[in-house]
Amino acid sequence: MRKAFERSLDSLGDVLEFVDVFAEQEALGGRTAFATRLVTEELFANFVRHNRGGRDRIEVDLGIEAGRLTLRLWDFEVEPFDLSNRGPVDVGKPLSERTAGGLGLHFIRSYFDELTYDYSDGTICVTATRRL
Amino acid sequence: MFDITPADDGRHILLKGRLDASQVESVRSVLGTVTASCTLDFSELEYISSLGLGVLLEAQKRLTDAGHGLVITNLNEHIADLFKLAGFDLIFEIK
Repeated sequence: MRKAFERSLDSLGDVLEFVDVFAEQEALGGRTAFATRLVTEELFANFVRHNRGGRDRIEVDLGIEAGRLTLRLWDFEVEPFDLSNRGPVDVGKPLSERTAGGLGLHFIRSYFDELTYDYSDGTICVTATRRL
Repeated sequence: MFDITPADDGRHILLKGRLDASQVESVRSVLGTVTASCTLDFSELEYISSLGLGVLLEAQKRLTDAGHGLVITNLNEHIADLFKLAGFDLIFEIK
């Protein structure tokens, strides 16, 4: 199922409801549903905060095929920005050295098995998959 | 739907619903008024994402520097997993 959302963090309530509908329709378990909500938000928020340019809408698609949940987001007419090439976060650092940067990507990598980034003709497409 | 409600004593704060990135400023605003150790009750919090965790981290750093800290109670199993993944179980007191 695919839907376009306004490019704004204020769309996140609607984005999460979209995931809820998908989770119910596919009878996803609690952990998978939570992970899908989280990873969808992290990717959507990343697009809103970091992609430069862009139409007023970001598209989100969720589907299941061959035992894998696939989440895909598109952002059109944007400059390239590959969120997937950042290094890992050291979550064992003491409080004084901790920052929140990179936690979203850390969660995406932890909850989903694969993350791919494509840029073509001004469109960013990020795909995350999780084995079910 | 998200709500954050400080108790009258200033030492307890109840968070309800889903703390997504669009709600972060309301949490930052409430936690910015906290000046001593304080308990955040997560019993009705369903969900939190990385930007929400970032606001908790900011508050914890500020309070710890002043000799105080946040205590977090009643995490659901998914949020407890998230805290472990983030290493937040090492930097917050969790009950």
